Amino acid sequence: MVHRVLVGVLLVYLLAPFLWMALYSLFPASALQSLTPNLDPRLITLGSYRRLLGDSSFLVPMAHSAIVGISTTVVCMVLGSGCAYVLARYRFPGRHTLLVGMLTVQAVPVIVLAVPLFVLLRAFGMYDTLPGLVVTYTAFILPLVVWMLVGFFQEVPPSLERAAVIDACSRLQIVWRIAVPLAAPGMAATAVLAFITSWSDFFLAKVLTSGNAATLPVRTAAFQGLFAMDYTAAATAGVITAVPVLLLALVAQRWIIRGLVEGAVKG
Amino acid sequence: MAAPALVIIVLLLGYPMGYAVFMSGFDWSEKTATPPSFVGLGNYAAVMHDPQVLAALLRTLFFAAVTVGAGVTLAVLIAVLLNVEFRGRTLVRVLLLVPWAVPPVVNGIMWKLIFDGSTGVVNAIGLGLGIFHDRVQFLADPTWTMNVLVFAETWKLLPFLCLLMLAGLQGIPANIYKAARVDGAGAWQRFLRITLPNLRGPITFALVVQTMWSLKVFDTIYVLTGGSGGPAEGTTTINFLAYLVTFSNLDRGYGAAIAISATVLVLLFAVFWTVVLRDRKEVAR
Amino acid sequence: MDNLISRRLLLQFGAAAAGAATLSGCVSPGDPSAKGSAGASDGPLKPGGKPAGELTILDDNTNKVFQASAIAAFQSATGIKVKTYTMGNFNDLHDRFATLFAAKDSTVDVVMTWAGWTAEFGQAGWLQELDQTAVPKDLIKPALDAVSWRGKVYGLPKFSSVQTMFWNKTLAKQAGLDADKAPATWDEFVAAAKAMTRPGQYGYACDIGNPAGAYQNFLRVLLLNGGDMYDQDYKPIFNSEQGVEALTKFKELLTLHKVMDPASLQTTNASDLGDQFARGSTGIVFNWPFQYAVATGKASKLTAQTVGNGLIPGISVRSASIDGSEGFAINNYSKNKEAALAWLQFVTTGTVQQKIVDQEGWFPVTSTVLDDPKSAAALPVVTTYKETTKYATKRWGTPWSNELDQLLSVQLNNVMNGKTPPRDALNSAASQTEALVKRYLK
Repeated sequence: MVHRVLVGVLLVYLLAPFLWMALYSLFPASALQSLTPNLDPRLITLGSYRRLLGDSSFLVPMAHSAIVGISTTVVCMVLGSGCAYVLARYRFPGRHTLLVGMLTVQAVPVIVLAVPLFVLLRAFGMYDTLPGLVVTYTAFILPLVVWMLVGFFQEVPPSLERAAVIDACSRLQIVWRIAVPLAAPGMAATAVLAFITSWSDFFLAKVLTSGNAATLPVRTAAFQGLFAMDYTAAATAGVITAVPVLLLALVAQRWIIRGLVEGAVKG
Repeated sequence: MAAPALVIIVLLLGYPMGYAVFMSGFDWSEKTATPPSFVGLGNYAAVMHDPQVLAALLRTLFFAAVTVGAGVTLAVLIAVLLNVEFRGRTLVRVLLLVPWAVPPVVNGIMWKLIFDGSTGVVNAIGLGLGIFHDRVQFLADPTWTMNVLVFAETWKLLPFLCLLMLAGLQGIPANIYKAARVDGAGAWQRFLRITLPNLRGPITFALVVQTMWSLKVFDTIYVLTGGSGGPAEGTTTINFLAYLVTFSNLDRGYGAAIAISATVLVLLFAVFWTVVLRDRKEVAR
Repeated sequence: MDNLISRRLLLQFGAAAAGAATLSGCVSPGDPSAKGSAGASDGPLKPGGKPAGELTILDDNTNKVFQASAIAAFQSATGIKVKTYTMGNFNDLHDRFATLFAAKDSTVDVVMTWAGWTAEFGQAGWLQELDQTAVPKDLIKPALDAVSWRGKVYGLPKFSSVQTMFWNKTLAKQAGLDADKAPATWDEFVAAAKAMTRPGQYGYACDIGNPAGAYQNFLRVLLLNGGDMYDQDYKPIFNSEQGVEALTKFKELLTLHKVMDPASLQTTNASDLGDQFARGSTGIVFNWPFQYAVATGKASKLTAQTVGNGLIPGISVRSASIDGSEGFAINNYSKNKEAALAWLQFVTTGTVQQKIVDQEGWFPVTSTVLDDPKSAAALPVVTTYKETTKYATKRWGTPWSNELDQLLSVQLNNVMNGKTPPRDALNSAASQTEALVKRYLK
């Protein structure tokens, strides 16, 4: 009984804040901003969603986020799995340093790199472009991807691969036919993490774009501006920004929990 | 196969890093019409004596200590709670992911809706239940705002830490608990003697990554405080200060020096925890 | 060490090295051209010739409607094409502009500006100075000030803006006050605000939740008490006796009279304040002209009949106010400066200015439109605005505005929360400001 109550409290704590924001997106702000919030279901309206999803200044950044998120994920997975496989299978001098280095990158605050990155992207004509964002995110996310994938590849028993060598498979075939399928759950979790990280980023997108390539978090944050904060629109934008990530997290939850956590614990 | 990834990482992180170090050696203000002049370690010397930096540093350490401490403690307790078989356990574990999936920008908006001093729901509940006598201005007082920030960030980071602990718990063989029970150990005894020691791996890992993440916090502060790090710099962490100096004051050299000092701080913590982690692994072997 | 590594790598990767060479030329220290004179024509820009081509304009989001008709009219009048017109969030624009300018970006021709940015970006060499012949003769002084710094004109104004007092006549009547009579002195104001304060309702509210708001609210009360920010050499004098008394009276609204909505300390912009007033539970606000449009708008609890408007009551002077005029300036790296100037001038013309008044609810920048009876008919606040011109109206936008706002907001918050006495707070702020002036006044 005590257990059930505690679990209940936990669920309220986890979900209530988000649900409150969802309510904000559905009810007129005036109904919620009083001491006795009026939750009459007849007040519910999807007007705010209709408005935002019909507004190109909102849809375009949303598309940008999707494009950048997917591209970054693909690039990170392709480059990362090759790198991680080598790090997982071969012993060579500097291997340990490289692995620690991958984790160390997590320690660098992006603020340090913001101005230099801006200068760098401009020099290559990639400031305020989607490829510019993809390249930047790849640099930041790749180390984490490699670090996680090394853990997963290490779990694939080398004996299986040795058998494949006897069957005269090439290295690449071995990776593709044996290592990848066996590490698939972990790879899926890693991919989801890569996508979420790039989809959610605000700071780099704020510094490295200026209108042509603005992403969803930048657009969402802009609901707080010179003009009065439109609570309903801000909440709606918040829900819309969070929902794809939530869906992804829910669909892939089995892999995420296994991949993220077991990889992390063993790494 | 490893080369392309390494090249990208080194080029896109190494070069900017070097450039930032380079910038930090100059008195480089965009606002004065004079060209930047080389000052060596002058900016770092100024960082050491800047009361604004010191205040931001203390705030950062407070923020990191509480979020990491509370986060890890709560995570262990919640993991123990969820490690018991009960109906709907899978569902709860899935819902646990919700805060993790909420983007930081959205996290900022969300807590603003909740803690706003005149329209927030916490005030409505507090006044309704008679807990508050008057509206509490959570986002008007520097101390309160920092606490709201800590609360918001802890909410968001908890799921990841919980999952980490859950995985750790599942690695503990059930028969150890059985044996302990036979020996007459109580629930608390079992938690102290079996659960905690076996969670040392996940806990140490959580400390490493969460400390790094907490020291780097930016997005939530930006949205929660309308881009100001306020009120009265109450939520201006060292990272946020570096942002203000670089982008608002356009003092590139000094901003870079603050940011690099912050990086060194994070790295020191990372090295500290990594050493702890490695020791444990060797003992385990 | 990172530096060495990256250098070695750059040698190996030739292409990258080439790219790096371009970019270090971009903002390299020691390169005099990094400071703005490069690419700029020598001397102030004069009108003349027959400008053509395309323009990219980056505005803030203050004016939502006037540009729709203004762009079309501009294009047909001049033959210049407005390629893109983007509105950015005001709070984000400073960083965006600074980043663009620092990189000598030429993709944006026209940028929005106000007193603080004119001083900051103008002094940095990022804005094109205008020749006197490019400046219309009938510009109102505060509007021209918003685009000038130390005698140099860096742009042309878009609209004028001065704060006035707005009050809720319904609440005034309920409180037993003469709803049509504006409080004329600070004491009358406090008394009226007290009368309108009751459970769930405050007599007065303001926006001191972010640095800019804190500065504006302090400057206003300082001017209302006959004080000033600087002497003629930019020596800070705001910690004078008038300053201390003014800040004390401001603080007392919250702590002694309890007429100030405590949420004022978290309100981060004038628009949120405007909305709050329109929700009908705030007695008095001092706000920008758009407040009238918001208060008489569809979503408001008030109407044209229940909104009172008048001069802000002074403490030791009759009245005073702060200026918030905005304008357009030309990016010094723009490749199409003459066309850009044509846009700047077009915005100050009568037809556009009339739209600023009618459709946007801001004040015009020329005396011609201001004195036109049509203006006061469309926007009753204009009458009050004309009266304010008799009293001190300042903004003191400087290259160190950002830093000043920041440090002042810390001190103001400490005063409001009772942590620091007003005198100590102002003394501390003044000594910090002195250091800023020394660093940035060139």
